[in-house]
Amino acid sequence: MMLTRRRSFLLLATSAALLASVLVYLYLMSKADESDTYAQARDLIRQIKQNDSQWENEILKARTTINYNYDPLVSPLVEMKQLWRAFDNIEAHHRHAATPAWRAAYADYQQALEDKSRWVERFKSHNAILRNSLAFLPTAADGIQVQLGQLDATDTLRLHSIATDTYDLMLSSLEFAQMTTDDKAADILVGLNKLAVNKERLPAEFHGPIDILSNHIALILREQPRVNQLLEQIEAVAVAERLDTITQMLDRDERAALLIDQRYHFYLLVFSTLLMLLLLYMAVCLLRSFSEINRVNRALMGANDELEQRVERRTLALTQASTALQREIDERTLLESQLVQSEKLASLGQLAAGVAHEVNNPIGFVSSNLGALDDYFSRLQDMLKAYRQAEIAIDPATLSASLATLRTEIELDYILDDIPLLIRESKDGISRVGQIVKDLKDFSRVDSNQDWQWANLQQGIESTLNIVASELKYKADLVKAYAPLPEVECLPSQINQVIMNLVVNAAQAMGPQRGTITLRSGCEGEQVWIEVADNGCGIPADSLQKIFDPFYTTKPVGQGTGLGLSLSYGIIKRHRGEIHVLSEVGVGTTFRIELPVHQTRAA
Amino acid sequence: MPIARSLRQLGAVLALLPAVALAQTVGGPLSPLPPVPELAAERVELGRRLFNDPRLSSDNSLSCASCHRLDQGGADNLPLSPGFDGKPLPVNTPSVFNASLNARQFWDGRAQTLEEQAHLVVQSPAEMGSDWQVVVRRIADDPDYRAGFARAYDQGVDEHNVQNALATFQRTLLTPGSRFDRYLQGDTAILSTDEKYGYQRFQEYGCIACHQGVNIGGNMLQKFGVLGDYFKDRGNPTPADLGRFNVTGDEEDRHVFKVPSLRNVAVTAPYFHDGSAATLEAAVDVMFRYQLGRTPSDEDKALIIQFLKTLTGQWQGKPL
Ligand SMILES: Nc1ncnc2c1ncn2[C@@H]1O[C@H](COP(=O)(O)OP(=O)(O)OP(=O)(O)O)[C@@H](O)[C@H]1O
Ligand SMILES: [Mg+2]
Repeated sequence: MMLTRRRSFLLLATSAALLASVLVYLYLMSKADESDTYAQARDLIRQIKQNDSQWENEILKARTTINYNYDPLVSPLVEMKQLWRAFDNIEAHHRHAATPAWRAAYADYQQALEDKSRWVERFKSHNAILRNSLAFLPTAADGIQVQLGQLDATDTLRLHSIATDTYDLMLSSLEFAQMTTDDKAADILVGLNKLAVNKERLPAEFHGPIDILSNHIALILREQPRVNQLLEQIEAVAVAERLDTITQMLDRDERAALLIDQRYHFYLLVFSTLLMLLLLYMAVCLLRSFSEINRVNRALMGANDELEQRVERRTLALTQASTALQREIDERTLLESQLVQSEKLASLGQLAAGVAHEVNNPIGFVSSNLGALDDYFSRLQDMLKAYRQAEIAIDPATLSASLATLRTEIELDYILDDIPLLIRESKDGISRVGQIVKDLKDFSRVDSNQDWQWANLQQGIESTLNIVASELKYKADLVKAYAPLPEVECLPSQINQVIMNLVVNAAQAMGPQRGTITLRSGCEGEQVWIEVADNGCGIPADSLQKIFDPFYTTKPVGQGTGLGLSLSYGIIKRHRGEIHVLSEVGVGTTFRIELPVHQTRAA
Repeated sequence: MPIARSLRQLGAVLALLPAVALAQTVGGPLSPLPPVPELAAERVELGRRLFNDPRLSSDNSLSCASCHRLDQGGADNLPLSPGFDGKPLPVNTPSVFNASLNARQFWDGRAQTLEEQAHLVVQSPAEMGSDWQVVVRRIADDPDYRAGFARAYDQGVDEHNVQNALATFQRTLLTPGSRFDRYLQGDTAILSTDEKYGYQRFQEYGCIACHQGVNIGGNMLQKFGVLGDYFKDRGNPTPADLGRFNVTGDEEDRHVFKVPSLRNVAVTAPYFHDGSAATLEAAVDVMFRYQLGRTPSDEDKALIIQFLKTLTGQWQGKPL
């Protein structure tokens, strides 16, 4: 129990953790809304590109400005490197660097930037001295010119040609700076040679300035193509294109990431829906377990109560034991008295049966004698009639008169009339005695054992009614409303006892006025029923449940024992039947017994 | 001479054409120093202590400050400073002042950042002769440093943070307030006429072609001996004379050096990578001869030197 609970707790905890982590994972994956970082990354690349073009602008400026501040040629690179570091940091997020395409793009950019900065570095060096020399050129040529002017004009034509040559050379050099061609370079070389030749023809104080001039022109000749070449190289470096490639890759990756993002969003949605359902389910479970807990609590409280009750009960047990003992004693008494009652009835039946048996013989011959007597008498009458008619003929009249007198004295006519009557009445009486005897026999069933048998209840009812007829006679009229009954499997003498008891009770319930007792019977399927209804005093409601109790009686001592209904109840129960009572005080009482046709006795 | 004059004019026009096309930026090619940046005080302090800490050298003999003496213009006055083993280093010690404004570090420009510079100096067999594992361990063993680094950096003492602390400190080593900067900032009366002429000559002769920008140099590489072979004339060639060639191996970089800043130039003698010029005059002479290919008048030279002296700035409120 303990183990499974711990295990289930562990299981719950792990699954909760699992669900939570899946949720967090999905949330992070879908939350990893990278459009922000993509926008940042793109912005950084854009800034790098801006710096790059600014850089190129500055290069353009540097190649045309004489005294140029080269700081703006340094700062874009520093800036670009910083921006790239920031970009790299963001990109570390995207974990792109791992793919070959990205590695290549990175490497291409880095290489381009390295190339460009190398060329720019060179450009700075070469451009600075080139610009310086170009700026100095007119001054240098001027200086020579001024010096030439100060010479004594011994050979003006030659001086003039030297001056022109020098200017030509200077101009060619300046032109060369604008249009760097091999022709111009050749021109300059020619010019330089001329200047060298001229130098030899000029006094020594010219040598220095001319050397300086030709040095600077030589420098221009050397540096200008170099600067041009560097500019071409710089231009050829495709930093911007590399950055464009990266931007395109960013766009592409962002689109892909967006797709993935959307997918995770969808997953998240599905998952959270599932989770919600799970939560709902768990809520239901929780509610259920709450009610379970409540139930257990109640049970616990019940158990507590029970404990208390048990103590009470224990103390009660003793008193109850004594009560039970008392009850047992009571029951014994009841049983005994019931036994006595049934014994009484049984012996009464036995007695009746014995009497009936003994009376049967005399009844037999009395009734047959009476029959014979009746026959004899009718024949005797005929004889007497004949005698009478003969009497007229008899003489002496005295005889006939004495006969007539005698006849009058003995009231022969009356006798003759009365005798058949008496005989008839005797016949009636004897047949009644026979009936009574038969009924007695039927009632007690001495002729059969107390065994279950199929019996005609109607017959039993009739016999019983005959037995109690005397008791009924002055009290009530009997109304019979029978429906034909099938034979019922029963203990007939006992059922008779029940009927008798009910009829006697009904009779006893009558007041001074004559009442009516109605007997009904009927059959419903496997059940038969018999009703004994009277219009006697009725039973008050509060007594109704007591009437079947043994010894409950409202009758004066000696008349009622209070065992009748209790016995009847027992008998009906033995027959698996029912006995009901319906009563209203002042209106009457109806007892109804229902009996099964078949006794399906198990044992 | 009408022809000559007209030609002259044409030449001037041609020379000026580009300049006209793109006007000179306002303020000219020189600009004043920016204010000292406000950096994390704890890191600056750590850097200051490290800068003065000899534990950075293998035998605890040299600190950064041994050569870069802040009371001597951010360098020492030796042509070649001794390394941790006492042997002279291959090149002259440049000033640490305003070094953060240089586009590159070292004479040959082999480091692009101060962090890189610190990294290379510590493990250079000639300079500190140490290695970073040792340095970091020594610093981490010091409870003060440990606590300080723990406060200033998330990762505490490590190589990167030690270098960063040193660089951070050096970024505060600016020397604003030079008379020339104040002139640039609008206080035109602060320079004497001669000094102003000196600035004009400085521009006219083309010194400014290379010594420009906020640091008046430091943002460009240049061949030493554009218009003359300095090294042949000087003699005793050393490997260090190859300059940037030692870094790139490119013929074109032979004798190429970083153009040094001229800020505080008056107080950072001797000059050049070889420390060969003991005085400003000597240095200016070399520059005219080998870089500008011109011979200035004595007057112009003097004016230029006067101008150069206006470039001396202040540190901690005092002129260097
Ligand atoms: N039909 C009836 N009408 C009114 N009261 C009745 C009727 N039947 C029975 N009772 C009441 O029920 C009581 C119990 O009847 P029960 O037959 O058990 O005993 P008893 O008739 O009093 O005595 P006994 O033992 O002689 O039958 C009666 O005393 C009477 O009060
Ligand atoms: Mg009774």
